[in-house]
Amino acid sequence: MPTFHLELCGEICPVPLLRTQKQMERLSSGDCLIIETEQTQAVRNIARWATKEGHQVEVEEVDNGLWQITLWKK
Amino acid sequence: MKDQTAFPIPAGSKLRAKKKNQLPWFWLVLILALAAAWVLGTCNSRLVFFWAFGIVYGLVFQRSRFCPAAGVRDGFITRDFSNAQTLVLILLLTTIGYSVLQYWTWVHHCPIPGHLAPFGWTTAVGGLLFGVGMVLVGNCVLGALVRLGEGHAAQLLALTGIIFGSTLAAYLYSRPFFKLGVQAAVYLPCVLGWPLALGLQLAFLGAIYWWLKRQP
Repeated sequence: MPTFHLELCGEICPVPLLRTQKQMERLSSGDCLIIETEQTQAVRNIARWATKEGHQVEVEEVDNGLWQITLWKK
Repeated sequence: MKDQTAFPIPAGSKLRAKKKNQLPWFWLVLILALAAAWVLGTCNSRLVFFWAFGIVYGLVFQRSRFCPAAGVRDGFITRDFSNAQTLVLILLLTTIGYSVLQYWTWVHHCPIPGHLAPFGWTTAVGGLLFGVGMVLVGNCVLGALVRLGEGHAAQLLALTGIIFGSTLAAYLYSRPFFKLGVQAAVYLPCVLGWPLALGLQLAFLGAIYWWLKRQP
């Protein structure tokens, strides 16, 4: 299962969600995408979008104010 | 923007070490906030209330992760209406709250609060500039202050713009050209009466909320 990393720190909303959507289009079913962002709003946006699309989502605050969102493409 | 594509990494890898302890910073900020409250209290006791209210308001806003700018913007860009729903719900609640407050002051013959006056053509220009700025910066004024508090240094640029724009508007406010085309304010409770005005506004907002809820 290939795993990819997408660094989105410093990007303002809604750019993190748009870039995540673009990346997910390129991945195959079962691939894993790990996103890093410090935008609280982006965490909410991305998690909600991915859940709605049926992807598996895991969110972890890995550092103070830094989130790691792990998505597994359906 | 930085690199446009994601890069592959070994599966199961952790990208960050464990969190740093921020408790000492919390205590330091709390002591400074209390000291500031004490200094404000020596000038005017009402300032302590404003100070405490501002801190609590900011805390609630930050923890809620709600974004008014996203409420207006995301429906157009990503077809996500969840923030818009929250925004309309807030308007619904504040309509009821403000109506109670305004009715109470009206019954007691006090000046009605929140009675907005029309501004003229500059309202439309200001609205357009504010909207463009909001999308470029990624949030509204409240969001910019919260993000700055979270440590987003880039928001200092937004803060500079907020201070510059507000100062300029306060300076130009009384100039005649600022109020060209101004007509008397239409205050719905005066025209329709309180029950109908309140009912109409609640029905209008309720209809928008219902429509937003139905979006996929």
